[in-house]
Amino acid sequence: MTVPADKIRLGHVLGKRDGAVEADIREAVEISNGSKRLEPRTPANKDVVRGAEKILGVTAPRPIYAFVGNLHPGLGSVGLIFSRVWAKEAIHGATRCDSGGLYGRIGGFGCLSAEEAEHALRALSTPQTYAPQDWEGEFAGEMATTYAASIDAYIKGDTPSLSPSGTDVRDRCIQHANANNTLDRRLWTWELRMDASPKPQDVFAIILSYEAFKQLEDLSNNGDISSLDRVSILKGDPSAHWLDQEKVLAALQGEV
Amino acid sequence: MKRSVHIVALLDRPSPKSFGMVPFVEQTSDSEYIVHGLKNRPAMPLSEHDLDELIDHGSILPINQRVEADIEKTTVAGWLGKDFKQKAVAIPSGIPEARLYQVVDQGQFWLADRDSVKGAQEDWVEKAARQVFENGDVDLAKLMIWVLPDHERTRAAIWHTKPTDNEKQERIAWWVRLERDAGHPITPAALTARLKSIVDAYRGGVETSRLRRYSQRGIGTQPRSTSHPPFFGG
Repeated sequence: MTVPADKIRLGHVLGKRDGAVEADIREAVEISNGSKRLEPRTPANKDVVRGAEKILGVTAPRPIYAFVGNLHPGLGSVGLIFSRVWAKEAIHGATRCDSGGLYGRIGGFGCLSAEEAEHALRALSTPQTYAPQDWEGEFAGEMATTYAASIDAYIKGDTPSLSPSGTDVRDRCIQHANANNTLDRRLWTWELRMDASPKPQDVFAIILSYEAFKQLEDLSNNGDISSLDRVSILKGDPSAHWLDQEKVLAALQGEV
Repeated sequence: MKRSVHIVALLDRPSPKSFGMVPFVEQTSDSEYIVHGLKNRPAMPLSEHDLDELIDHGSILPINQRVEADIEKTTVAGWLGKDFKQKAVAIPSGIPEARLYQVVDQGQFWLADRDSVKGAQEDWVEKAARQVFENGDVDLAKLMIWVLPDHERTRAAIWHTKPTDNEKQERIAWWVRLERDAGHPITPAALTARLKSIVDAYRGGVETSRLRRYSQRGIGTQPRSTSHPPFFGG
C-alpha cells in the first residue's frame, strides 16, 4: 500500500539522565496532558551534538529533535509519536540524516574525513539548500525518487539508493556501513529540529516497552496518572522491540 | 552448543519490582555488541555509541557476567527482581535456581527459552489469582501487575479487589482503552462480564479443578495450559 509522505508522523524517544524509567513515563503522560513541556534531550556525546549544532546555526536554547517516521530502537524504553502539526508550527531545521552522527563520523559516517563530514552536514541540511519551512516538499520529493514503489519502505527501514550517480554522500556511507556490519537507518532517516515544545494535541501516541508498561499500569492502578483519553498507548510485546513493532510502524506511517 | 557468552546489559531496564523477560546484550569483541531476544530483530547489532548512550540515559541495566549458554533465536533473559522476590516470598516455580545470576543488588537473571520464561510467569499468575479470589489479597493482586499486567487473571484480580463500584468501573474503562489501542476493541460491559466470569469460575471450584490437573502435568516440561487461552493481547 502506498502511503503519502505527508501522512508520516514524527518520533521522539524520551531519556532521563537519572536512569528512572518511571520518570520517562511520568514525563510522557505530562506532555500528553499538557502539564509539562517537552525539553531538549541531553545528548550523551555533547561535543559531537554541539559541534553539529554550531555548523547548523543552532543557538541557545537548544532545539528538540525528532525523526521523521522513526523511533530508533537504540534510544530507550519510552517514545512519543507526534503529528506533523508540531513541525508546521515549530520547525527550526531539518537534516536528511542524523546530524550528530554525521558530524561525529559515527558508524557508517566513519568513511568520511572531518572536512567531508562538515561539508555533507551543510549540504544535507537547512538552511543551506532550502528553507526549514520547505522540508515537507523536499522530504516528499526524496521519498518519491528513492522509494518509488511505496513509502512504506522508508518507515520499515529499507535501505535506499539515494543517487544512482553516486553524488549523495549518504550512499557512500551506506556502502561503508554494509561492509562493516554497522548499517543503521539513521544514515538516511530525516531529522527535524524544533524550537518549541509540542502542544498536547500534537501527541498521537505513547510507546512503551513491556517492562515500562508494568510501571504505567502500576501508576494507573494507584491513581497516580491522569486521564489520557486522547492519546493512544501502544505497549510492546516482551519478546519484540517495542519501538519497531507493526502497530508502531502503522502509527508512524499515519495509517491509523 | 554451549559457549561462553559475555553479557554486558539487560535491555528494557527491568525493575527490582518485576518478574519478567527482557532482551540482553552480548559483547562479541572489543567494540561489537549484539542484542538477543528480540523476535522482530534477531541478533540485532548494537553500536558501542548506542550502548553508551543507553547506559548514560539509564534505559538499560549494565551488568558484567560471563555465562555458559546455548544462545538460540528464542533465548531471552528471565528476570527476578529483588523486591518481587521479597514480596512473593519464594522463587516462582519454573525458574532454574542453579542458573540464576545476581545483578548488583537489583535482582537476578537467567537465560532460557522465551516459552519457558512465559510459562513460569503464567504459572505464577494462575496461582496468585486463585489466592486473590479466595482471600481478597490486595497486595498480591498489585504484585501481579509486575508479572503480566495485561493478563486476564491479573485484571480479574485487580478488579475483584477494588472496594467500590466506581473504582471497578474506572479500571474497566482504562483496560477498554488499552484494548482499543491494541486493536482489540471491547465494550465495558463485555469486559466486566468476562472478568466476573473468571472470578466466579474460581470461586465455583471449576478453575481449582483445572489448576489441579495443570499442576499435575508439571511446570517447564509441558506446554502451558490452554484451558483459558488469553482473552487479551500479551
